[in-house]
Amino acid sequence: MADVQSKTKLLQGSLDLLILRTLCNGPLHGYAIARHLHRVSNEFFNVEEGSLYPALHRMERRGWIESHWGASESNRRAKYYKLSASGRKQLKLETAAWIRRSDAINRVLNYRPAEG
Amino acid sequence: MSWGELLRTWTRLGPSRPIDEVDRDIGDELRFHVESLAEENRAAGMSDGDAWSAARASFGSLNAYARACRRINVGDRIMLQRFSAVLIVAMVLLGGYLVVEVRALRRQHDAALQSASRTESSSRVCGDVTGRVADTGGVPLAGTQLLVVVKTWPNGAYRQRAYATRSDAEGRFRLPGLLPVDDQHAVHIAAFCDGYAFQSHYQLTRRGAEERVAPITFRLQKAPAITLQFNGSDGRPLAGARVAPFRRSPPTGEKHLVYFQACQPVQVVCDEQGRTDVDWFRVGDSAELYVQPLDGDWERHTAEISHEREVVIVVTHASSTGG
Repeated sequence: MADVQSKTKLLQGSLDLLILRTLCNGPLHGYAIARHLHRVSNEFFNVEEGSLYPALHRMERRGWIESHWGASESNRRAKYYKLSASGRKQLKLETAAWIRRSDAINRVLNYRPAEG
Repeated sequence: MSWGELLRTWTRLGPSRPIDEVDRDIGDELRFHVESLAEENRAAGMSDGDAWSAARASFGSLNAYARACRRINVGDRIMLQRFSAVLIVAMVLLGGYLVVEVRALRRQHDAALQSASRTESSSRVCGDVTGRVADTGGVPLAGTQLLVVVKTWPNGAYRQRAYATRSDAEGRFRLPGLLPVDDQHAVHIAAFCDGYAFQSHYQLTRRGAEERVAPITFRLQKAPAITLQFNGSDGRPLAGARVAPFRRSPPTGEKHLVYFQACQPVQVVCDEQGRTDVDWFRVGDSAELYVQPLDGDWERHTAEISHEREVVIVVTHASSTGG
């Protein structure tokens, strides 16, 4: 339970970045985005998949992604999302911020006091 | 949400879809995901029931996530609609208040006007200015100009109005309905007849006084023509200067005057030599005159009327405008 909770918190903190990055390769519906995150992260991100949708709708309201209805692979009505121009800019910003954050964390984790 | 985000959201809202349509789309989107999960589970060998249970467990609460998506999609709109409704109600209330206030102010204003009007209307009932003009022998003087100023005090304010009329063949004159018989008023009349020195009469009637303004009788005295010469401070004649009588003080001590407001009918204009002949005064009078040079303001000047019957008046604040 603690492991699921920590994973949930981690995912929520970076979900926007992960969705924007996933959509870089082309339009996807929500189920496909969830499958991609699960597979590419080696099943690390395995939290409730429904949590994806409030993030998708929020990002659409902000104009980072755009949506349209289409037919899925199984010929059912599905909502596809794609990256917008402002979404691409936001991806660059969030990626840069993530790299800075993880570099700082790595420096702290790898710190060894000088010997001698 | 900050005011900036609210404004951006408002400007971006555009034509809004019906909320039930939004709910339908959200439901379709989330059900597609759950159905896809169930299909994946069935493909992995689960029974139909187990596939659905596992799919719902993986997805989480369909209703909770649908509500969250709904809040994101229409929450702003609902909040803005509520805000707009409150704003509209507030504006309607403010508008109603202003209408009530304006109507109340207008009623007060109309009441004040009606009160003043009633005072004047009732004051104008009856209250004629009447009289007769004759010479010292009692012979009626037809065509005499009567310059009348009526003073009233409606609702505590002061009002002064000027009128003019002429006497008829019998020397009689009448100005009907000028005097408020039940309120304080005063009448001043100046009488001008060619060949006769002017006279004036003043009568004040206080509120509650039973007597009305009695017919006013003038007995005018003959007057010779007096030549008035007006010069500027440079000694040159003031051609075109306007002249009007102000006060006449005979040696007997009485005084006759003309209100400036009423003097226009008897004003005269000097000729090219700055001269004009008038019959307003008698020899021995102390005369006061209004003088207006061509390019100046009205001034008052005094002169003594001597037997020479020619008076030179120097208007010290003016000079002739031409040759």
